[in-house]
Amino acid sequence: MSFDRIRRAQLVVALLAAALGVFVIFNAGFAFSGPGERGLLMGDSYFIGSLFRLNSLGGVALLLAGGSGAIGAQRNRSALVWVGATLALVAGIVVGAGIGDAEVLIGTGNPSNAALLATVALGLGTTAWARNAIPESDRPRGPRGAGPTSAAAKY
Amino acid sequence: MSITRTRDPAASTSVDRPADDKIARWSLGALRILMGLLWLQNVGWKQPPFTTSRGVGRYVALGVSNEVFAPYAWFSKHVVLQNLTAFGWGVMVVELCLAVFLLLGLATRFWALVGAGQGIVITLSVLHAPHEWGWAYWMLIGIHLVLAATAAGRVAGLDGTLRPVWRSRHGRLSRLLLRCS
Repeated sequence: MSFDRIRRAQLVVALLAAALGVFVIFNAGFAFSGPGERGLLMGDSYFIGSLFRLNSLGGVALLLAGGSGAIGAQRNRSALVWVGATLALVAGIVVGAGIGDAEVLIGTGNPSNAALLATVALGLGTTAWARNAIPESDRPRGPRGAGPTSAAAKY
Repeated sequence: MSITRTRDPAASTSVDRPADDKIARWSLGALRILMGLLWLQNVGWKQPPFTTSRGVGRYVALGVSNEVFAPYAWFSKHVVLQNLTAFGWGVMVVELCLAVFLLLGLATRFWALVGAGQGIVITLSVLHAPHEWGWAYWMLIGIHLVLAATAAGRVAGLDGTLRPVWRSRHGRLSRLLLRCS
């Protein structure tokens, strides 16, 4: 059933974003020469380091967006998923806004970071849109408590 | 007309087509994500200001001084280098989108073709530049063509999940996404 598949995909995107957020925050705490640049697991790894050189602010945004999306997906609350998508989008714009400016905060102005946040925003946004597009009659009813008066029915 | 399929007993125990093989399908998903990560990392250094001494501009200049294909070198010299800021932003936006859409597996066929196109442009710029390994660029093009041909977003990607929804709708966007996935 595509409703459940969409829900699972939404959950995967959200949980990956939240896990990445935790990783970035944790890493930023170990940074010495600049947030994220020489943190745990990243400092000597060019590949991982250049991918996830977000500062803790970007990590918090990922965590909140992912957390909100995950709760929304799990509890069939589309509003929460939209909050997560919007948060990731706004954070992506904030991070991307520094592109080209030499005097920006560390972690902003990096197109890779903006792309990462845009991925989360688009992933949550498209799945939320697709779930809303499924007619009420085609949504699952049953064991997961998805009766007519349940959260799923209200979705 | 109804078609009745008779099940071949041997078919249930062996898989003859790669498309039916789980490992083959998931490998395509993994390859797509790998390409997404490639673009995600490499968009990081394509930042303004765009000059011929760094980033995209440096490679455009290398394509002019180490010509691969004469018309392309002429175009790079007289059009791209004269409008480097506009082209630099264009490259950054395209590669950012490649990272986002290939990682998600959304509209994968379209974006894989864009990736192959971008691979051709990169090849024409740096194939003859010093210290470059030419096969890397042919692989870049080839892998994207494979992703497009196999619709790799339908495995572990949003295309596979969302196509039934797009199919059930008749809007222009849904039809477009169906074609691009």
